[in-house]
Amino acid sequence: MSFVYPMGLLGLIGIPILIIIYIIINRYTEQTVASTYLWTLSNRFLKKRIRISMIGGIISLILQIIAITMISLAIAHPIIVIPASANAYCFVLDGSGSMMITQSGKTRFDVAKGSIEDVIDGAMNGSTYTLVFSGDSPQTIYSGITDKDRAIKLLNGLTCSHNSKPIENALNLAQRYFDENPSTITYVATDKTYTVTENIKLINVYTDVENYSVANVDYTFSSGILDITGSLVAHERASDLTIELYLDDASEPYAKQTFFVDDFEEVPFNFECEIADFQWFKLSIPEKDALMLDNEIVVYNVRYENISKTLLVTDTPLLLRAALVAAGDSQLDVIKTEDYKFTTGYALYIFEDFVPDSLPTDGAVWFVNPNRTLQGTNFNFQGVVNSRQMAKYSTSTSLFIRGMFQGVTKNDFSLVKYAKCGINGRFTTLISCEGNPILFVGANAYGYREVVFAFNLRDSAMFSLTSDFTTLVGHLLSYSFPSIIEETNYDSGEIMQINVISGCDSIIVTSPTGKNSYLDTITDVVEYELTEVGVYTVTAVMRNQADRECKLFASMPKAERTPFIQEESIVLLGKQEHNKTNGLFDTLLTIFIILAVVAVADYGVYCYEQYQLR
Amino acid sequence: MNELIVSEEFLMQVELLQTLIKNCVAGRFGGNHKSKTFGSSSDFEDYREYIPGDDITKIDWNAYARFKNLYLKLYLDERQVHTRIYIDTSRSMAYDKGKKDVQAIKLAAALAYLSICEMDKVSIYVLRGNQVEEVVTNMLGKESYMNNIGKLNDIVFDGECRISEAILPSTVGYGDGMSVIISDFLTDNDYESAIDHLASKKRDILCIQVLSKEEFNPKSRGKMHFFDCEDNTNYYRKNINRAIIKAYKAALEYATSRIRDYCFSRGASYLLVSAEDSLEKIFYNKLPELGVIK
Repeated sequence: MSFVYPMGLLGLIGIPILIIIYIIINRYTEQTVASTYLWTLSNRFLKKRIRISMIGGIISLILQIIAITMISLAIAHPIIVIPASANAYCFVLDGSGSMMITQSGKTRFDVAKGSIEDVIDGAMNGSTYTLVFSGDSPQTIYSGITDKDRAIKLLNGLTCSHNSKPIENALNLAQRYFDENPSTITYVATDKTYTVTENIKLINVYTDVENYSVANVDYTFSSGILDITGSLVAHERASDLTIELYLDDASEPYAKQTFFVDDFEEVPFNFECEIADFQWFKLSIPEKDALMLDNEIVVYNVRYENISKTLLVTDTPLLLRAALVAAGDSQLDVIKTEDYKFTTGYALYIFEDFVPDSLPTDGAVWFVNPNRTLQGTNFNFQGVVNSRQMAKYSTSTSLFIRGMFQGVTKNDFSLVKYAKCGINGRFTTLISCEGNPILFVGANAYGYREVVFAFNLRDSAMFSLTSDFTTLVGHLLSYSFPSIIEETNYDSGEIMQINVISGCDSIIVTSPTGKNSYLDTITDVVEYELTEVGVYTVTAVMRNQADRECKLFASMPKAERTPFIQEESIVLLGKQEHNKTNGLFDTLLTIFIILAVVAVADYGVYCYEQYQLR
Repeated sequence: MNELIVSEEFLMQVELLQTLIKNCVAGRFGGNHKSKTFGSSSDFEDYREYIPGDDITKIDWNAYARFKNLYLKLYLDERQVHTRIYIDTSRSMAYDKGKKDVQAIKLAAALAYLSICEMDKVSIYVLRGNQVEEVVTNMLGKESYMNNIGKLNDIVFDGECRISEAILPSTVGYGDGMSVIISDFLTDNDYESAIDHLASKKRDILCIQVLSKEEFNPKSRGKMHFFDCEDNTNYYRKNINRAIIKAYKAALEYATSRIRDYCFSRGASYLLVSAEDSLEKIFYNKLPELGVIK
């Protein structure tokens, strides 16, 4: 036996003090009375006293001595070592999305945590506990701790993730602890059903519950027709399911369909909508089930999410406006050159046959047929040259050039004349004529991207009236203000890529639960792991212009919608041993129980004595 | 009266009362008590035939005219009795706050006045050890009462008292009145012989047992060591609890019933009073109920 606070035993000094007090208090009070005749006579009428009452006087003393002893022991906190009675426990807790399925008001994750808590509660003190959590990434929450309360507190602090990570990664960690101590008792708490387990005790929290989901959603949008396809799945039980389609901010469904869905079968659905454009659409199953997170999918229009405002300054907007609109730039403002004054608030400024007095400072700039030099543009106008040769596309095989000419037939074309420009090394020439760059891209003095068409579009009908021009304008738009996100639909647990656009100071990702993450902007592309199901908002905080914001949706991983796994095995390699360590029996509770009993008994004796003295 | 022990108002009320003497066979002439013998009072009792030698003045001539026989008219005799009051002066009567001594003196004074009012002689004695000591003797008439009753204040309550040993050798009279013993009777000593002796002397006997409130209902609780005030070698040491008190009450009942039953068996009267009882309560309620006075 050992004591946590041995000084508490000093309380035993109270015992002799108590005895002294008892002796003093219990002295006979001497009193002279008129006659002791009646008192002495009363002995004849006394009933024969039972043996227990003979020691009645010292019962309370005995009880109080026990009470002092118990209090001293409680302060000293004795702990009894019980040889070979404690175990090493390792718990592997599945934190995948399916563990959020609710059954009887509690999620499977809560049930699993409760089961582990029960094991910890029932374990002998002195046992060690290790918890491996298979959440967004397998991690050891604690290892080899003996404090039950701390182990349970940390366990209860865990929250279930929304992704689908294989539990094998967590088992690798558990294997390490098993290798270190083959006597470790390993529990795996999961809702997956494994047919073979070796050296593992399975805590299966799976129950048969209704769960529906929307799956395989895809769409096409062209010529004003939005075509949406997908499938409905009813896990565990067949059911009549409704699928509702919501468009943009409409509160009422645009359309809905009802299907009979057999269990574990996918029933396809299709919606065709005639709409001019859309920002997002939502597919939803209104029927309630055990996991509502996979009953809804929101799809955002990628193009819409990356749209930026463009200002076109020209007196002849016909060709360029048509090309820009065809390329998807729907937020286009057009003004005449005489109306232009220094303006801000646009992501792209296009000046055709016109060079302003000062360069815009908050966005990309296109110059079409420049006629003079402007400071800060990083090129200079050297005069108009009559063309005698065909304009030629760059033949570079660089990724950038190939990307810019993707979908372009690259047929050489003739020009009447062009503006001869001198450029510095920060530009890339896409088309040249007679060795002079006539379409080049780069960056201006403010760091924003710059595109220069050094010819009049109307003088190059062979080019500007072709589909190549429209395709090329689309690529140049993407180059001028690149997309922040390339995709808007992910599964939870996937990693999304975010483009760091020029002029972007920082990128903030807001998760469905409102958690903000600030990402680095050092590299061109940053990655972010989606750990929740729902709508994410990506905000690009721009240096000299309005912040750009786009949204995307992360769905519940398909594997987590149907967590029923059969014929899989989880094993820990090695031979299970059964060596136990010394357990500790904490006597505090026992002491308090004895103390309570003694206190009640002492009070009972006191009451009896008071009753006797009435 | 040197000092008023009993209030004058009470004594005036006592004058209205009268003692009932059952064994009045002796005594002097001139009292107020009707004797069992025939005498010269005005209270007619009976007739009897004339016997030669009888006082011819008591012949009822009307009866002779009717029956042609001589009959004498008999009248009850009235006697003066001698009331003897014995006060136990042991230390137990005066110890602590019991006030038994005061109650005993008050009772003696009141009973003496009652007898004085009935033209009787009164003697008051104290029982000290095994002796009877006179305090006031042959008190007759109110003037004598007033002159002598103050002596009761001089009685010292101390030492022991053995009632029988004191009374048996003393002069107690014969058939001429009432003997009153006032004591707490809390003793193992013999007092029955004294009662027997008085009864054999044709005395009306009244035993008054005076107990204090504490003796009726003791308040002491817990571990107590009681010493007897008359004898330190007598002690009682116990944890006074409910069971002890219950046994004490039984002992008290036993002690009081012992003397009560003995008095009853000897034709004596017995009265149990508390030291706190008022004289009014004793004289107007208890004694009349007992048939000692009316």
